[in-house]
Amino acid sequence: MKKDKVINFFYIIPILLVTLLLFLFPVIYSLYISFTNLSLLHFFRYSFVGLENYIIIFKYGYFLELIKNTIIWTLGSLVTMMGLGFALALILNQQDLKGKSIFYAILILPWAFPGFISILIWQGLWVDPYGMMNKLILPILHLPRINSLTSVTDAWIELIITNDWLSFPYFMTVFYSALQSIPRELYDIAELDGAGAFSKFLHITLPSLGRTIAFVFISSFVFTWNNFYPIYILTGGGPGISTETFIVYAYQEAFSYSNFSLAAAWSVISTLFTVILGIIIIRYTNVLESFA
Amino acid sequence: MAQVKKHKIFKILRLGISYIVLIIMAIASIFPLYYAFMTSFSNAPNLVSLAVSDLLPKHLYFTAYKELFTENLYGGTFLLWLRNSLILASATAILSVILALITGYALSRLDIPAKKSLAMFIYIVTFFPYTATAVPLYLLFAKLHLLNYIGLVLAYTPGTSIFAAFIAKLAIDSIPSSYEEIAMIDGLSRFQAFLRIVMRLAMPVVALTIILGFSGAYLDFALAYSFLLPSVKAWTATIGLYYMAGLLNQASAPAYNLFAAGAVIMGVPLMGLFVASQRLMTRAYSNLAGVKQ
Repeated sequence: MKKDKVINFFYIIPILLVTLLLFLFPVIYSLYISFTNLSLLHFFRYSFVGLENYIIIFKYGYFLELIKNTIIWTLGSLVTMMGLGFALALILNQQDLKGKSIFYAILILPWAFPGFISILIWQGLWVDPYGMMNKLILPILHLPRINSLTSVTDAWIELIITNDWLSFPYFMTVFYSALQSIPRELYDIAELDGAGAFSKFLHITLPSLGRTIAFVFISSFVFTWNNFYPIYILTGGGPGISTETFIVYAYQEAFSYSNFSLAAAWSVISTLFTVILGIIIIRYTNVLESFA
Repeated sequence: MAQVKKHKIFKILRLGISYIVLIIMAIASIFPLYYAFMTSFSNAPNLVSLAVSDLLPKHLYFTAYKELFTENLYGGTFLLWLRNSLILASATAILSVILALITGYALSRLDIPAKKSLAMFIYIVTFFPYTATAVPLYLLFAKLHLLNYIGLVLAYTPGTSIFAAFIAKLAIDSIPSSYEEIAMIDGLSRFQAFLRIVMRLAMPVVALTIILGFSGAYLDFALAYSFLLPSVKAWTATIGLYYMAGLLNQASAPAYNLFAAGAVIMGVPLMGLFVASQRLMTRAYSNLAGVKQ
């Protein structure tokens, strides 16, 4: 029996190797870099500077502004896109609805299109005043213009709508497939007991989806927290730094200003947040329980 | 009687609202893509000159496509980059599936010491952001002479496959292990039984993993950019299009119709993949729901 256990271990060696080499090593290395002054200026002869980068961050580094922005970005995106995906999944899951597969095929189009390219298309749509958003869509809907260069609120609206467009099909798919697996009989029995639509939703649908929601929430929370393309391309963190998140800021420090050590310090702080929040959510929802 | 009537009104109202929401969302889903599609057939190169009337054009111009397929940028062409992207994305998808299924199988079926802590560990590790791993990865891969496709595939795979491994684990949980045992009694090896039974029954998860792995690699810009920038011929379609359309510098009036044409062409393979796996994908998450096993 003991020998079996050892052999079984070989099955997860590939994933462990990959994890150690591609995630754990780089992050430990980043932690190390964050205590040095590695930058384009000191690329080959960098030296140990202790906590200097962290002192810079907490002293001059807009720490509070960035954490506020990161939370607005993450929760603002996540709540709206999960809500939208869930609502659409509920709509599609109605038995007497016709044309389901056609609607589904159209609604997953945003997901089926290369994301980076879509963001660039949206960038073109949002440009004020030439983009179609301000030239066509918003006037038709009698809504005020959106200008992300001057208004912080507009910038957030632009970012979150774009991110919702990019991601709602994924959540719709997840919830739709989860909803379909709830046995119809449960609803039939509840109907016999005289349960209304709302009570069926509350007592059958929601509890059955609890695990799905928790799992998707954690992975998407971290994904959104770490996602920098939409912000980087659409607003570049502006106006000023009012839509900069940890990751966008770190990315700019590293790849626009080649200040690798400061970027590493920001990344380390951001990672600490996600790991601690992630562990709390995992513990609280017990979501990994069924995964091992 | 009144009860039935009320029920009927409620039903009409429910379906009516449903269709309205679906139609609005369908329009919202299509519009940006339609816009890109129409822009690709316009001869207005930049945003300023693109008018609302270009959304319903009288003439379709193929200038952007002609330019896209004939332009040569420092020895690189769009078709070459597209081929590169497809190879890269397919390799990532295949490797992700293999890794996800092996890991999912191990987590589901096998008795492994400290399995729970290991699962937690590999899950948490995927929380690490790109900005924390990019520079060290670059330095490491440069040292290993892996600043090429092999390196990129290696770097893209783990994120997708770890995520997919957890979904695969649940799918494999729901397949009775007696199926494989019977197959093995019939003379199949463990591996054959795995391929014929586990993999076939876990097809929805395989489809999801292929989609996630493929699109992840296909749309990546940042990592491919840092790995491949010096060799133009090895660029991916995303990098190539970015440069060819002049999007690097907004002030230089990017060629939007060229960009849109490239976007349309790039969209075709991914859309094809989605259409092909759509039926499977709607079942990929079904094992997450329901009562706890």
